[in-house]
Amino acid sequence: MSSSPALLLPRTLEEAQAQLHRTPEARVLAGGQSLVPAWRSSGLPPAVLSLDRIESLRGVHMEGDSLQLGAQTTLHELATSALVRRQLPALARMAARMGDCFMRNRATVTGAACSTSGAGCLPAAMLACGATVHTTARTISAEQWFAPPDPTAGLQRGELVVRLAFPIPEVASHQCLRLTPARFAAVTVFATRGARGFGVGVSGLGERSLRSLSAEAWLAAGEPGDERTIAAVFDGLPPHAGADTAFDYRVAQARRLLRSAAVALARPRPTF
Amino acid sequence: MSKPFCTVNGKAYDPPANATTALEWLRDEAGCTDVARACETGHCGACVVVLDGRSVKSCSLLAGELEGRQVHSLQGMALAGRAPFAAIERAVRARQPFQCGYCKPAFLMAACDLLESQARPTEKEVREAFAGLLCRCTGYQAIVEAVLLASAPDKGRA
Repeated sequence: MSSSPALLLPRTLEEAQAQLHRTPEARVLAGGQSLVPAWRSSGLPPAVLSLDRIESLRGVHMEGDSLQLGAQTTLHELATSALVRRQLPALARMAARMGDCFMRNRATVTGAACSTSGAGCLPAAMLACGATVHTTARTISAEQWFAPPDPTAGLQRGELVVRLAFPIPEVASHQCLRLTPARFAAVTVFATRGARGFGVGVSGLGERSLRSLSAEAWLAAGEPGDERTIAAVFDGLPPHAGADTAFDYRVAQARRLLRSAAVALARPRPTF
Repeated sequence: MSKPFCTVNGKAYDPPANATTALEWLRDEAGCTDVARACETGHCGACVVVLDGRSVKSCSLLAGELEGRQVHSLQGMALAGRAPFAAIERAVRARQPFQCGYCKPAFLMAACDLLESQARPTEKEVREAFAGLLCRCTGYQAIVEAVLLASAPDKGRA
């Protein structure tokens, strides 16, 4: 790469918003594990604003029955947090398998939630849990966040993600098909059972991660061994050409992962 | 005296002149040619360094993000204060698992990360910790054995 962009390193949210107001062309950088390598081929933006030094965006805590993840929480912090392991162990186990050990030291939960590829484990978890994205201006449901065109398109100038909030389910299961280590999973199914019934988030079957009502209905019907009924799950989705695998194959894998999730949800809650 | 931009292996450096990524700066301006330039796309891990105690890929960091940080490359690992490194070094000298050496920083630093959090990993846990790291020479088995040896030297597996 040649010629460095202007790099802004604010230490507070207020400073970041003021700098974005003065430098509207600046691209916001979280962990950089997707953007910096991508800029090798797409070209560097003229200015970059890094959130790396804003301490108020870090940390994990509970608010009532909801797990709050600071926007700059790294995947390593998510995987190793004693609080997350206790409250939502499936999320910690999922984070421990995302990327590789070096990426997890820098990649943030917000960066993972901003994935535009339609793949990725965290989007599926957010949809299954009914998570919310809290910005400096408003609260956005996971379903709204992952609606087209892409997660960050609806953010206003200067609006920054502050935290992600996950209502805690009774039990959760993360299942994924990872064909290449350290890359996005080809297909992810994250399933939960809780006060609002079943929740199923799926990544890898379309342009965007989605919440699957057909999968939730299948789980609620309580017949995990019935091959006839699972044939209707994920049926009717518009065929989406993935980069490396056929759509029919990914649908078949999603059904297999859903069956595994059903078995896991029926077991006692795992602990670390 | 002006505050240094950052320190690398204990030595203070000025801000980047031309480099864009931390990898470019470390090699071209800080003289750390032990930080390998391999895929440069965030996949292989050959460019990994320790940033304030955590192993990261320098090709996926902007050079300016090193401001105020302490960086250690492989040649400075003894200074980085990572407790498992001495045992890993002894095991690597005993088992000789590497060939060309391009992947050595990645595996040694991943091994440090692993042994800091798990003193006695199983073979499966070692392999899982190395998921995504690439070696074109060795087939990984000898590297895994070296890490297991580092974690349990008293079992006399050398």
